[in-house]
Amino acid sequence: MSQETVARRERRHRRRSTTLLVVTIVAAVVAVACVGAAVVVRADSADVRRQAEPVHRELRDVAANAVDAERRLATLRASSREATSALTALLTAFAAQVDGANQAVDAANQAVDRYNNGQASVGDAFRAVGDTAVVAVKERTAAVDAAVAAAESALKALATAGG
Amino acid sequence: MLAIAGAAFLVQSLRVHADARTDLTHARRELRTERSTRSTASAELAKARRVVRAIKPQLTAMASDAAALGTLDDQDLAAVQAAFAAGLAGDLSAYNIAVTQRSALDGQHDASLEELRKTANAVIGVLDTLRG
Repeated sequence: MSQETVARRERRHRRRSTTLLVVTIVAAVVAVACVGAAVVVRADSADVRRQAEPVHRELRDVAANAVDAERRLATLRASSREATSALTALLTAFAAQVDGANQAVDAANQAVDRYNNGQASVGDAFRAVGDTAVVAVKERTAAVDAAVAAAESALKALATAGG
Repeated sequence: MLAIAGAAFLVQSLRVHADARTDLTHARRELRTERSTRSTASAELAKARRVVRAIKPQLTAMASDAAALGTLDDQDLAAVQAAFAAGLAGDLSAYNIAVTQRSALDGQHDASLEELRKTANAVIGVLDTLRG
């Protein structure tokens, strides 16, 4: 092997070594740059997560408050509906009691008229009209008492729900 | 290998960052929506409570007025029963006393009932506005 050939091989070997060294250095720089950039990105991600944390907390609070407001509104509306129907029933019960009492008065007047016209004694005249009217007044008065109790309860519940 | 690992680490970090950003944007959007929903529910609740508070004196008064009227009805029933009992017994004097007692209740009963009816109808009208 000539000296010239040996020298050419050595030059070629040096060039390869130099290229490999350069490639290695570039790769190391790229790796370090990537890691550096990744660390910066990760730090920023942590900041973003920290920003999101209070937003999530507020979101939970807002949702809980909204649910609570809807629940209280539903309760108030239900109490309102119950109060309305209890008041309507109360007025109906009072009107029925008045009608019943008027019918009883009519029946008593009929009996008294029979007595005044000499058609019967007082006792017979009242026995003739019977006690149907009195029983009706009794039942309707009991219905009034029940309606009053229901209305009191419904009105109290509504006043409480209204705060 | 080191460069590839570094690049992969960077890509992974960018993904994490994008996820965090998406999560933040989503949470903010959801918060805006929830706030508008809450403000609607809260406003309706506040309005309903104002309405009920405004008629609270009538609610309280009606409860006691109804009880008082119920007592008048009980007295009315007692007078009617007494009148019929006296009539059946042929006791005209007792009958007349019972009729007089009942007549004495009439004016107060009618006035109280009319007052209660007016108040109740007004309250029912107000409560109708609360229907959702």
